[in-house]
Order: sequence, then C-alpha cells, then structure tokens
Amino acid sequence: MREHSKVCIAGCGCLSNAGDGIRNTLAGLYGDVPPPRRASRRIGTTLDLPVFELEHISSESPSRGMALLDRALAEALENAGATERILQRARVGVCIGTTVGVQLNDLEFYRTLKEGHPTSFDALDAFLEGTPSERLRERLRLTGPEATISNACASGADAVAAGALWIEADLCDLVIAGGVDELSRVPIAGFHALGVTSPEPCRPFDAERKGLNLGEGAGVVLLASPAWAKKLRNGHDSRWVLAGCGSSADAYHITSPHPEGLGLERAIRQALSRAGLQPGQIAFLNAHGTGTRSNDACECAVFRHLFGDRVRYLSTKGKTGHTLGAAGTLELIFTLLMLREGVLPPSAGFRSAGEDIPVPPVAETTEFSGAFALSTSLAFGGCNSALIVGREDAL
Amino acid sequence: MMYLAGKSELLPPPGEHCIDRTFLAAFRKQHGLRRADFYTAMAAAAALAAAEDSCFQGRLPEETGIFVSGRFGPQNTTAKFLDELLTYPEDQLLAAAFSHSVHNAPASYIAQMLSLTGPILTMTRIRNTGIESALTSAAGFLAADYCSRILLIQVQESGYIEESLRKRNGTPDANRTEFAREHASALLLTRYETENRYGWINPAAPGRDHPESEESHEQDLTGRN
Repeated sequence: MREHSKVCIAGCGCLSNAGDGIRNTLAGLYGDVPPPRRASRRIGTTLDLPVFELEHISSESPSRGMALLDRALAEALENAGATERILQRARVGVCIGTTVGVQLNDLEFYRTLKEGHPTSFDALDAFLEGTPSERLRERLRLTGPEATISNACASGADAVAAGALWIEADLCDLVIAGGVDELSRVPIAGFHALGVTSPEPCRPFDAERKGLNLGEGAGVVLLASPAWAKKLRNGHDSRWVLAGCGSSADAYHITSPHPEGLGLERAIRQALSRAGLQPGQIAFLNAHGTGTRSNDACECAVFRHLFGDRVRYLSTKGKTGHTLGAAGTLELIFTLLMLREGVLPPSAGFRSAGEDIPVPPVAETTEFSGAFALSTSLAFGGCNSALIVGREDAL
Repeated sequence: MMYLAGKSELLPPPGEHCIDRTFLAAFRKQHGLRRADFYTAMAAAAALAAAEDSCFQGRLPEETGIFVSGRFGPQNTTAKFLDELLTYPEDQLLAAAFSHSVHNAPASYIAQMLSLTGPILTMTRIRNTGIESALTSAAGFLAADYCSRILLIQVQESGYIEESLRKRNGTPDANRTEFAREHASALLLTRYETENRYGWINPAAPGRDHPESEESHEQDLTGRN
C-alpha cells in the first residue's frame, strides 16, 4: 500500500544526442542517432576521445548550458499546457541538477587572472548571474522554493526527487525539475584523468566495454500535485506519475561504487517501498549504465539480486553519452517514453555479456506489458538514486 | 516543523578571514583524511562537532541524511585542477584534483566518517549562501518522511573567485563581508521532539504569500482552452 501522496508528471521536454525534443527523441531511442565524434575546436581539448556533442545550439541565453535548459523547459511547459500566466498563479518551485553549471572553470579567464591582468570579466559576470535554478526562478518570477543540486552524476535524478518531495510536503503545487550539463574541456580532461573514458563508442554492460563517452543535454519535467495536474489537463487525471523515489549513500569511496552495490540496493528498496510496489511490478529498469567496468558490474549484480535472473534492463548512454547532471532527468524521460510505447529498444552498444555481467541487458527490440519502470543513477561520492515512473491509473 | 538536535560553527580567528589551516591540517591527520582538501576538512569538522553536540554523542543513526550547502564549492581544488590543465599535457593530469573539485566530495567523506547511508544532497547557490533554500529542502525531506534526521552543513572557503572580484574595482560584491570570511557550520535537524536541544525551525514556505482562488485557476485554464 502506497503511503505517500502522489506526484504527477504533467509535462516533459528534452534535448540530447538521442534527439531534439520528445518526438525526435522517441525516433532516436528506437532508431539510429549520430555516433560520437572527437570534440570540436570550440571545446579545445587535445584528447582524441569520442564525445556526443550537440550541434546547432545557439540562443540568447547567457551560456550554452542555459540554452540547452531553455529549450527543454519550453517544451516541458508547452507539453503540460503551463503558460507563464498559470505559473504566476501557483506556488511553483524550481530544482535543477548540474555539475559544470556551478563551477567557474573558464580556462582563459583563469589563466589571465593568474597572470595578474584579466582582460575580460565576462566569464565571472556570467557565473555570478547565478545557478540555473536561480536564473529560472528570477526570469519566470516564481514564488516557490528553489535549489540547484550538484550531486555529480546523480544531480538530475536527485533534483526530480527533491522537487517531488517539496510537493509531497505541500511546499508547492508545481515544480520545474530537471538537469543540464554542457560539454567542456574540464570534465573531458577530468574523466580521462580518472581513467574511465573510452577511446571508442561506449558499450555499456558489454564484455569489451572500455569506459564512458561524455555527452551534453538537458531534460525537464513539470511535476504537479494531483489537483494541479488535473487543472492543467482541463479536468482530466494525469496519465503519468512519479510513483516513488529513493536515495542512499554508499559511505564507501569518493569515486568507486560499493562493490556489492549496497547503497544502490537501499535506494531501489526505498523507491519501491514509497511507491507501494513489489519488484515483480517493475516492467523494466533503465540503468545508469555508463560503460565503466565497476559501474556496470555493480548495477547488474544489484538488479539480479533484487529482480531475479529474468530482469529486463538496458542503458541508453550508447545513444547520448554520459550527460552528467542532465543524465538522471533525461533517462527518467526516456523511461517514461519506453513505458508509454510498451517496447524496449536494444541496450545501445551492447553485443555480448562478460563474466561480470551474469544477466545480460535487453539485446533486441522487446515488447512488454507493465505499468511501472525504474531508472537508476549513481554518482561520485557514493550517491545512489532510484526513480519509479508509472501510469497514474495503475497506482 | 523540525527540531534542532545539535549544532556547531567553525570560524576564522578574530580579525582573520580564513579558518586556521594548522587546525584543519591537524584535523585531516587525526581523521585519516590525507587526500581531502581544506574545503572538505572544514565541512567535516563542523559535521562531526554537530553530531557530537547531539544526544547521539557522535553516533548518528545510520539512515541520517547529509545536506551540504555552499556557494562556490571547493574552489581552491577547482583552481588546482585548472592549474594542472594549464601546466601539463591533458593526458597527464592528477585524478584526485578533479574528483575532489566535485561539489559533493565533502558529503562523501562525511558519510564515510560517520557511517551514514541516508540521502545526500549537495546544493549550490551563487547569489547568496543558500541556507534558506537548504533549510526549506530539509523541511520538505523530513515532512515527506524521506528520512528522519538531516545533518545540514553550510561551508564557504575563500579562493580565486573572491580574488577575481577584488581585482575588478568598483564591483560592490568585492566589499561584501560574506565574500571575505570563511566559515563552516552544521545543524542536526530532526523530526523528533525528544531529540530537541535548541528549539525548532519552521522555514517560511515560499509562495504562501501568493494568494490565488481556486475559481480564478479554473477561469484561467478555461480561458486558455
């Protein structure tokens, strides 16, 4: 029996290598997408690594990250039928996850600062404009709570969970929740220094996987209380709900997941408990699935332990790369889309499982029936998050 | 409603802008935090002191959550990684400088030190310290029964961002004291009155001052369609 109040997903918008917008993303999830390539000169890295860099991103937004976020936000609000006028009349919170978006890491500015004669303070000014959530709250003149979550690679999932809890606690009626990150030289060099980047297109859960590819993107969901979801849908119930969320710390290591995945297991159990569901009611899992040896082995072990040998799971990072702060929200949206379609695409990049992947991911297009699915996120610092999305009428 | 079960504060010596590095170095040595930076050490020192201050005498229940709220994150470690990038070939950089520049590094260390497995949330707010935002989120987590206790740490270190503000003459922000002093503080927040030591906190619910009748919602939506 579910013990917590329901949180509806009134609308969503997204932008990644899988597609620009929901319609194109759906096509990308089930079809071909551009492969990762070496980063453009704009990024300035000397490393010869494939990345999923988006093209044609230009706007009047103060940064590339904000441009990505604005596009996803516009689609989510339109999708929900939430005009700016409506946003002014509700208690609306904003909770966005990001990693790059909260660091002043403009190398040229930093170099001139160290040399004692900065020639331009534009980078500083742009940084001091505020976090993505601060900017959105001001621009949209929102009156609800606001937070920017910097939980590394789980930021986008944790932002959605935090926003849902605000609604459950009746702190607000609607929450703009999401995640965003842009590609830049610093994370490319950083992840390479950690030894987790792949020199070729990533292959999550594959025996020959060599690491991750970085990507960029943004995802936004408009969360709503049941009453507000109904108002937005002209009196009709919402079709989709965030049925449950869970999160847990490993308390183990700053970069490596717990080898037995204890933190991830606790997060999944908490999400199931809050949703009032049993593992058998989860139709499939959309894994964090980065393509690193430790992440994928950890996730597979936990999935098998909790859901058994016939667990259906996949990773979409072979189509988007690891979009860091955006990943958790993007993958929640992908999960919802796949649940809606009742069809799973093959886990992108997977060919054959190795010894450390005792239960392989979905390897071919698979039809399924079910009302709930789960998306996982793992992060530096031992953060583990699980989000369950479901059909409203099944809860 | 949430109760304050423990608290602590770490400030620079009188007249100073920075927390005593000798103290932080000794703290790192005492707790085996050789790889942790001063930002993490500041946050961890405040967290441990607040845990000690509570009725749990340092041994917090395992499912306690950890919130870390900061403005610029571990900016000196970020600078260290930028120095690496400017100095060495990109395939020869130190991994630790990157991993510790991630904003949630302190939460990870605190979770290990106190063996806490509850939810972790690291929040960044650039325009101000963000403590109100962190308290509101904590209230939400506790009210929604996501966890029963939260160790909320607020931390700020001085670094190249303040330096760049000082270089830009005429910027009002450069003279604001909040940019000038380092600090770390921690609050142990709980749902249980029996654990209360210092009183209760009820953050103002944002948006409550924005009245709107149900009728006008319907009118607006009806008009839209």
